[in-house]
Amino acid sequence: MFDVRILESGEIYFSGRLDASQTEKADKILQQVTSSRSVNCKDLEYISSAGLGILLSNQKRLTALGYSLKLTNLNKHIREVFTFTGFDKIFIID
Amino acid sequence: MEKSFPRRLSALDTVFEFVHECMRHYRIAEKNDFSMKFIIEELFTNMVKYSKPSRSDIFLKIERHDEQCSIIMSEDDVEMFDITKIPDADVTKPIEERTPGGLGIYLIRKMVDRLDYDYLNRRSQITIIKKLE
Repeated sequence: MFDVRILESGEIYFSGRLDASQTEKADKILQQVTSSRSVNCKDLEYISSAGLGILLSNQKRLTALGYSLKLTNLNKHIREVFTFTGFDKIFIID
Repeated sequence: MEKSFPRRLSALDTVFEFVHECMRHYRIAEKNDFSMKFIIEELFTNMVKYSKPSRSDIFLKIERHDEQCSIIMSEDDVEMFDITKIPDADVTKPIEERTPGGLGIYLIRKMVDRLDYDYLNRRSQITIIKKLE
């Protein structure tokens, strides 16, 4: 089960499992973002390379506009994946 | 334990349920959960994406042998696609030059101790050995 929402604060909230069957759902919300935003991952349990791909394509789109996504509260496993793939250099991680 | 799954991404929920069931059955510690699911999802989605003409189910077998586990995934009626020959993604490139391709196999290599590919009579089989944490 994966959920993605834009909260009233403007923060994006991810929860559950972002696997290859859920990337359209995540991308639909991320495509609405046209300025710098935080993505709160405190309840995101899992991400696969398909999920990384969606984050990367949206970060590239926003960077070209002068904005970026910041990821907060990554769990240990997801943080490791970000470190191994160099995504920790592409995203601000808090 | 072994099970076959239909060749579609919407089957991922049942794949994850099966992985969870195997982990309970073999008493595999929870800290292996992320990597086990990651490895199996990446292989499964590769098979779905790159062996499209095939209609065969995707077979998955997980076994525990002392402090390591084996993961076997196979499919029939497919072209040869040796994932062990895929070059590593360059994870040092700046954002403008980055593409998501190759990250899955790159991460699998980081997570496993052995990765083998066999192809015979249009049957592909990937065998993984992973030491358990």
